Amino acid sequence: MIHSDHQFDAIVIGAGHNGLIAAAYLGKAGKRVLLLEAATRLGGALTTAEVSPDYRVSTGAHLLDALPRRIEKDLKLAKHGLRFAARQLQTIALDRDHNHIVLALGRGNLDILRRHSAADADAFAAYLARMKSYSAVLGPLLRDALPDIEPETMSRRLRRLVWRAQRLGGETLESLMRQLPGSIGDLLNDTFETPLIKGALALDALMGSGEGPYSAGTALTSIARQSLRSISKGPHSIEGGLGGFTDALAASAASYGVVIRAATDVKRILVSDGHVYGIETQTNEIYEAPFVLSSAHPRETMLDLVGAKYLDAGLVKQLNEITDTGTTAKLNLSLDGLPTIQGLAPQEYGARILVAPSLVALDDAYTAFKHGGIASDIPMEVTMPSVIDAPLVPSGQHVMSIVMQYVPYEIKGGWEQGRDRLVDRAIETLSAYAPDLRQRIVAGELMLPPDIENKFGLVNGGWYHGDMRLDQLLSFRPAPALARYATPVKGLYLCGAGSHPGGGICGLPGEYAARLVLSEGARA
Amino acid sequence: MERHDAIVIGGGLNGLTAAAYLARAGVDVLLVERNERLGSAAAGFDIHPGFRMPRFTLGTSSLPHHTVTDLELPKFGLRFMRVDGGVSLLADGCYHASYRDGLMMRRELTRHSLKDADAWTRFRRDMLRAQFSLRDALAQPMHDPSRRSLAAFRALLGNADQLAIKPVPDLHDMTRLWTMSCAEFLDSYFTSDIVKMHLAAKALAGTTFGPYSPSSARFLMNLFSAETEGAGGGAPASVLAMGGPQAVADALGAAIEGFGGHVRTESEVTDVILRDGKARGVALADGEEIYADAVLSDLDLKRTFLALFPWKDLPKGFVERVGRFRMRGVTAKINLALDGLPAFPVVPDDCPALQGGLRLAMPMEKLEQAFDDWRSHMPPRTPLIEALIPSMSDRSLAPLGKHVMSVAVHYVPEVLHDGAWTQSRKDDFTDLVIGEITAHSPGFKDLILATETLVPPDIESEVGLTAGDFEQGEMSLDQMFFNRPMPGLANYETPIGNFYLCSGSAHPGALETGGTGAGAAQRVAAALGRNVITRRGVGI
Repeated sequence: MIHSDHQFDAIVIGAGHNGLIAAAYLGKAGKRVLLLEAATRLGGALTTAEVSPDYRVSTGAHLLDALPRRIEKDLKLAKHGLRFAARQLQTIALDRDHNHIVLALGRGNLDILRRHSAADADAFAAYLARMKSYSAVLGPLLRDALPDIEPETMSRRLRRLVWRAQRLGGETLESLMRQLPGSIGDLLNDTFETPLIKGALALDALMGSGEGPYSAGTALTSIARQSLRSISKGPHSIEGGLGGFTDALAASAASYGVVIRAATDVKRILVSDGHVYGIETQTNEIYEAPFVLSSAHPRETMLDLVGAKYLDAGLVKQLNEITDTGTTAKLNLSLDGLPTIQGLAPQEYGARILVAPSLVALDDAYTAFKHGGIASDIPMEVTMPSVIDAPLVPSGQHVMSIVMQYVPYEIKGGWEQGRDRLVDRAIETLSAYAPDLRQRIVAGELMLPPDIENKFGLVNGGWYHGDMRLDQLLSFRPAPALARYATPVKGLYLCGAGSHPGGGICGLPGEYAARLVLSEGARA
Repeated sequence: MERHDAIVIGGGLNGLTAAAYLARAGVDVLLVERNERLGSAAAGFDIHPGFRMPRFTLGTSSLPHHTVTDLELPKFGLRFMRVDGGVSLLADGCYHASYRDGLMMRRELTRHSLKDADAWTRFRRDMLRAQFSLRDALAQPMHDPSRRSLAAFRALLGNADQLAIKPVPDLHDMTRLWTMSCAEFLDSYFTSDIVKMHLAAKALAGTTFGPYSPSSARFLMNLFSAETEGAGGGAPASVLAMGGPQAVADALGAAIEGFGGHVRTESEVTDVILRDGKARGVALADGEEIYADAVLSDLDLKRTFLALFPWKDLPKGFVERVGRFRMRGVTAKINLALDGLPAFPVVPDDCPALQGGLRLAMPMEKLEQAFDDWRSHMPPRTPLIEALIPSMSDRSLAPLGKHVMSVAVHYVPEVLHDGAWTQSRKDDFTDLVIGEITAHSPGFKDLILATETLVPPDIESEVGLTAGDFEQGEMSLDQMFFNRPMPGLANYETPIGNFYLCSGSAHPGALETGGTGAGAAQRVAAALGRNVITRRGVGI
């Protein structure tokens, strides 16, 4: 059969990592796939660009922390250029008094923790074991593909969950039952006494979410996050920044014959008789395919690209109610040398660094955020990728990549005035640990939630195409009727972070959606 | 030597309900109360000669229908009144009232938004549905998943099956109600700010949650507790007992004695007598010892275990676990005797909804700020003020032409970050609240004949509630159902043999007035070889 260059087996909308992964899986299975991206470059929030001439850094997300090895292998990403600057980065919580805590087991690490509190050093191993067993119980539910809708399958799945929980044993089960519905702050207060370790572990759990350390349900969401992460034993740092990951995905997809078009904005998804038959671009070009997969936000896909007239009113309401909370800003800095962080060993400069001195500081930042303000102490996750990936920058120079948590989408008085204040606060917060930071700064770029929205198409600057909260997870993600990637429009599937299991660079929505399309295609 | 089948320590509504159910089941029960009057937090008093009112609570508390009928309370003198559901006043002169009558409610909502009048039907249906399924759940015995028994495991598998057959959209609705914030949840129904403020203020009053706290939406369904639902299609009624909450306590006390039980007031229990690790009775402050086969405590979890037992007699680690049970005071009470009925010019004359009380509503942002102030232990700046003038509908409470006003002020911290609750601070606080009310009611200040202000530490010392927490333990999801008060103790049992918890610290706590007492009575009666029969769960 001869294909015209406007006819494909499948069209994938959006070349973020999920779109790329979906397209690559389909291509690998021998399908003729067209992948369309509105922006001029691929990768969505996973790109590498210059902060200032010759200083390159991951523009948005800066660590890869939940990608399953299976996807890496299936798509032969290593062959297509994926290189890890470092696997399993250490996470270090910075201490004002230079006794920085490494959040991992190991004798040296525990010795430092013991300087803060002997009880906490003893509690730490038990805590990690407990979190691990929690995620062993809940993990499969949270990361495996959703079972079909039949009550028998659901029931079998839930019975297995009960069984796994029973096998935990009395005390662990008891603490799971007690802590699961609660907040991460209460959980940590019950476990530790050192403010720093509580602050750091809470920030680790809350990064990117719009909830505070004492918000109900945060214990569960942090276990969900942990169980997604445990698939890849992350976080990992990528050579060339996260753009390197995108490049490898694109190369893999291209090797399977996927046709990739950047700077091609889709205007609408074409539907006839309740069945999708292609898409139309902003420039009025029409591409046809029996399958269309969209990695765009579910609301954008269903309401803007398909149109409400094809959907029932209840679904439209649900789509309109998906919440996205922007809570982070990104600050990238070019530095003319490595800033000195007292107490940090030379090999630790390449680690993932958390700045969150206490639950109190975190809660204050959350309160300020809720009321449209900026905290005096900004919680942040910092990496200096140039330490382990020298080619990013000119020799002897460095880049620092900072994710600031609890930065609101809108601020009282407007961002016009607030921008400089935020940068100033961030640098001041960090200067408490790295006094010479300010002198090292050559250039910088700040991305506020509205900038993240504009640049990466993430609604409100939220990371996940729908906040990862209990009412927007599992069978509810993005809405009950859309939870299994299929939509009421036959042949149209969702394959982005807005679908189960959700965001956090795990690539699973893309993989699961592609597998579903392949099995449906085989049946047809 | 005095001996009974069972002793109940404390005469709050749960203790009274427990004792009444036990007495009715033929158990020889003695209830011991430290104060002169029964009722604990429900107690009332004469604020001024001739002026009677509930001293600690707002005064709208009622009992579930099944408790009233089970215990034949009307026979013991209890009468309830149903009045319209309250008015919210806004600083800009707006108001919103709740009516039981569906047409009046619709007209009221239409004043603000036609869309909201339509949304009301949907909201009301969803809340009633949630309320009914909660009632169903409360009627089931609570299985504790941390108890590793075959029966518990079977029950859990049964729950899993039940969950599996529920349609996903229903589960989604349930999850939204139980996990979302109140403000966000209301946004999915209503557009008019005052309608949302009206509902949020009433739902959140007395809770430790703010309008933007995750899992605060579920308090909205409490507004629709099935028993108060009229058939009219409007808002649920406010239920007032004739004679105030004190009358509820007195009727329960009369019921206990009517069923052959015993009540002793002005007797304080100081110790639980233990032998071989089991409770055998109680010791009173005057040294008297009374023995029994079962002892029930209506004191909160902390007070029960930290005050009635030598800590060394409790299992290892238990005191720490009790210490971690979260109890936080959030409500202060101001009691006023008034020389006449205050006027609220914004509200039409004779608006019947005023009888259901009034709230000074505020925008969600401001309410959240009040909540955040409370969380950071700031002296209240813009607390949530709720008032009831029970003498409007119950003329027995005040001399002719005069009135009592019961004011509950929420988001008031127990401990202030910068010092203690001194008298001058309390005076400032009282002035703030009276000033706020006067802003809506010119001349209000001049009507006041007498005032009393009770901040959470006062409530702790007068009522005995730890931290002044009326909920006897925060009603957060991790302290509810099988977690209340803690895993392993969900069945009113404690690590001490023959010793049971019947206070609001146990399940279902604040979800149902007297519910813990009824549940504990069932458990204890079974242990004593008796059977408590209740209409709970029988169709309403």
